[in-house]
Amino acid sequence: MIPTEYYLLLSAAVFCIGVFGVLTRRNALIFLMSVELILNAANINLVAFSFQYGNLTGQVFSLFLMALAAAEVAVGLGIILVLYRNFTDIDVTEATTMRW
Amino acid sequence: MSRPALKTGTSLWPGVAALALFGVLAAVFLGAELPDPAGFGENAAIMKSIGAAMFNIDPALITSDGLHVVSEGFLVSFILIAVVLDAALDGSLMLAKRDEQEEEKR
Amino acid sequence: MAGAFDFAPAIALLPFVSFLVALFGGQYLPKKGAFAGIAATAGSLIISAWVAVTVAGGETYNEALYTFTAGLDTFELHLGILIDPLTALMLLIVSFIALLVHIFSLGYMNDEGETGLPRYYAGLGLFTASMLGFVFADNILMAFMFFELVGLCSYLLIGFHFRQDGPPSAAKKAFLVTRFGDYFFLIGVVGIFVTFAGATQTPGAFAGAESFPVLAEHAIMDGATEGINTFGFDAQTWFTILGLLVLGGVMGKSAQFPLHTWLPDAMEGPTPVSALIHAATMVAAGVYLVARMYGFYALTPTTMAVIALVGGFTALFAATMGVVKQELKQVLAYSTISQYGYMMLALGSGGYIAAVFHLTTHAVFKALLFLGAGAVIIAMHHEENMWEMGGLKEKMPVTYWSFLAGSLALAGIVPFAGFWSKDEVLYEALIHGLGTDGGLGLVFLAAYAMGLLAVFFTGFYTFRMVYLTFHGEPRTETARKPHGVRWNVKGPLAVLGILATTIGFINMAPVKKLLGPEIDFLHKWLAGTDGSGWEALATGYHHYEGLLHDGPAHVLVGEIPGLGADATLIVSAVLSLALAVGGVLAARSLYKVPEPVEHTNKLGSIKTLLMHNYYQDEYQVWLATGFTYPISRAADKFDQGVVDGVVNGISSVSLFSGARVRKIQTGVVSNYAFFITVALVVLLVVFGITGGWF
Repeated sequence: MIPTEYYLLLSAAVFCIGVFGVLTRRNALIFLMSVELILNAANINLVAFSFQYGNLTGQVFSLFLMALAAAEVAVGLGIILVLYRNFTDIDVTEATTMRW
Repeated sequence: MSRPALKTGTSLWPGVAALALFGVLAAVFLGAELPDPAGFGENAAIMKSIGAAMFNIDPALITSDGLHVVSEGFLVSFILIAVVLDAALDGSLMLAKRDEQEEEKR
Repeated sequence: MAGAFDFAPAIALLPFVSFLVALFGGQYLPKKGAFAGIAATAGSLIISAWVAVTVAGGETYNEALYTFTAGLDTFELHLGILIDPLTALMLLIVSFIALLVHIFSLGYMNDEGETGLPRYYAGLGLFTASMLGFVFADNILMAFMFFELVGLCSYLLIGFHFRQDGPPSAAKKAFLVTRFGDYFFLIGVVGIFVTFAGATQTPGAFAGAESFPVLAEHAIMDGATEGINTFGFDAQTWFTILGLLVLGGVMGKSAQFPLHTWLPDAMEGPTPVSALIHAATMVAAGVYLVARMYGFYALTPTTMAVIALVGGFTALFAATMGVVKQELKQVLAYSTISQYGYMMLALGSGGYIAAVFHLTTHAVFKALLFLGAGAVIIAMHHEENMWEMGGLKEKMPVTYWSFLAGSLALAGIVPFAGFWSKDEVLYEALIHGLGTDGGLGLVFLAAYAMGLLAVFFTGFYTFRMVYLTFHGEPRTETARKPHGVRWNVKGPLAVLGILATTIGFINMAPVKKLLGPEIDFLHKWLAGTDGSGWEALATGYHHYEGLLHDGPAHVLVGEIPGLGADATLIVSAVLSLALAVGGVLAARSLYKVPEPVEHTNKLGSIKTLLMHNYYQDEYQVWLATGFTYPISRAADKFDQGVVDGVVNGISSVSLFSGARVRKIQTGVVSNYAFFITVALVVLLVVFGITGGWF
């Protein structure tokens, strides 16, 4: 079997790609996709440890997490719609009225 | 001809932060001494066990062949996620619809 | 039936009731509250007389009546009454003079058609109540409270004609100057309480075994200092400091140098007020306080020296200023300052009886002189300048003869009251000065010399006043046809005139010493009868005599070298009488002419100095504006710059840093995510290193 550390490394890599996207992308939809990546990195982590301990909790939980991610995307898209209505642009660096 | 170029200057720092995070996590994970994975054993009925775990049913009742795998009960989470999905659907519809109504009023 | 002492609180409460009646109901009464005042002071006089008779029978009274703060493990604060012979005497004097002044006011204020009379009688009533309360106060805090109240009433009454410019200003000056002295008095009171709080439940009491004079006596004579907190000083030094602090209030109230400047200006008030407050009673409060606390002062030679020196100096100082004054009341004001200097001289040099005797006689003849001046002022249609008067002798006989009696008493001509009392003051100063060793004796002799010299000036200015006012030809039309005065003016004058002539006989000590008859009644009165409540109170003259003789002051009686005790007595009496007569004759030669002229120009430059009161007023104004004001400005700068600056600085630090730190909130979501990521990295590294993950 593949040692669990490499699963964890994969999860870390996907997580950091997601974080990179959150930090550098200006398009709100791409931002949302990066958030999805972060969520799925957590999923990989959960499944890896489920196999590590021989307990199905990790896998069941990751199923729920996928459903949750879907719900979150639905609401997030609604928010992006409202953002567009107010700022006529989905560039996240343009929506800066809540500042000093 | 213009081609994509890396935007240098202070805007490099966010990317560096993400890479640093990866570096730290990798260093931790590769250095971790994890015991051998326990695995699920031969002939483990994983799907049926997952189903039993979801509804807090005793897996021995379902798995006719193969071992059942131990898990926690997720019935409450199941119900909760059902409610949350419902709420998210309604929420996003409301977010989209309300703006249309305001536009119609104008 | 109830004893006299049960009615003692009424002595002060009756005038207080008259104050309330005049204040709230005065405008409805026919004489605007005068009769309420007369009735109240008459009642006080009757009860005071009854109390005095009881005290003459040997009883004394020292009770706390109302404890307004009961300490748990510490001292208590209460209001109480102390009645011993000194108190009884003073109560009689105050209530008697107050009664006469109230009657006189009917003539001076009501008949002259003055307005605002309810306020006047209310002020008089409150003053009488406060003064009587001060006299029978049994502890120094209560005395302080009433001390301040009489100062307040003085302010209210001096400023009675507040719509003119002079009186309110004079009232303020009086209040501020006396308040300056009272500040030190207050510190002294607090000091006394703190010092003796460990040794007794009533550290401020004047009399009894639990009183501070007795405790101080035990501390100094027997060395019993446990419980007494002297703040690291030697007990003698500390008691001297406390005595000097209390002396500040005394000097302010009794108008001694340098806090004398308010009294001449206080003459802006109505003349009955001057007679009551600034001649006979309120200014006596300071001297009375020293006499009350004499057991404490007798232990500290330094304060005795200070009191004697201040007294002697003030006597001479004020007498020189009285010589050049042109207004009738101003001469009398400086005379008051000078005579209180004599009383302080007596107290300082160990002549307790002499001081109390002079207090009594002075109250009578000074009130008489002021009321006489009031009668003259009524007659002259409120003209006060003596150079506008003249020849009133024939037109106002009652006033003239009573005024003359008062003047003879003031100048100290035998057999009038002032001779006996002033002579005793000087005699006591002389023999104590000759008998006491060291510096203290010299101080007494120096003060005696100043007092003796002042006798000449006293005789001079008194009779200058008499001759200019009453003798010669009338110098103005008003003097030719003076306004008449009624019985309510002449009555008090006549009564006081008779008293001024006869009251000296209560203590003709020289006669007793030379010839033997036991006629020194005042001496016996203050020394107390044997077996009376004296010993418990420790406020009798025997006790003080013992303290002076055996205590640290070692005030002993001496005599002029080469002469015996009797001869010293005769020499001293003859000397003071000769100087007094000399002053009178000098004034007679200059002013008893049909058309007197001003001789003051012959004094040359001294005249300017005297007319300007040795520039003391300007000096005190300079102290306020040239000295205190820059200091207060500097303090204000410090307060605004440093103290407020620190507070503002702290707030500006937070404002400034806030203005900088808030720039982090750029509004760009990616920035926030960046900060989170960096924080996460740092946390992980820190936990990893400390947890040993790597």
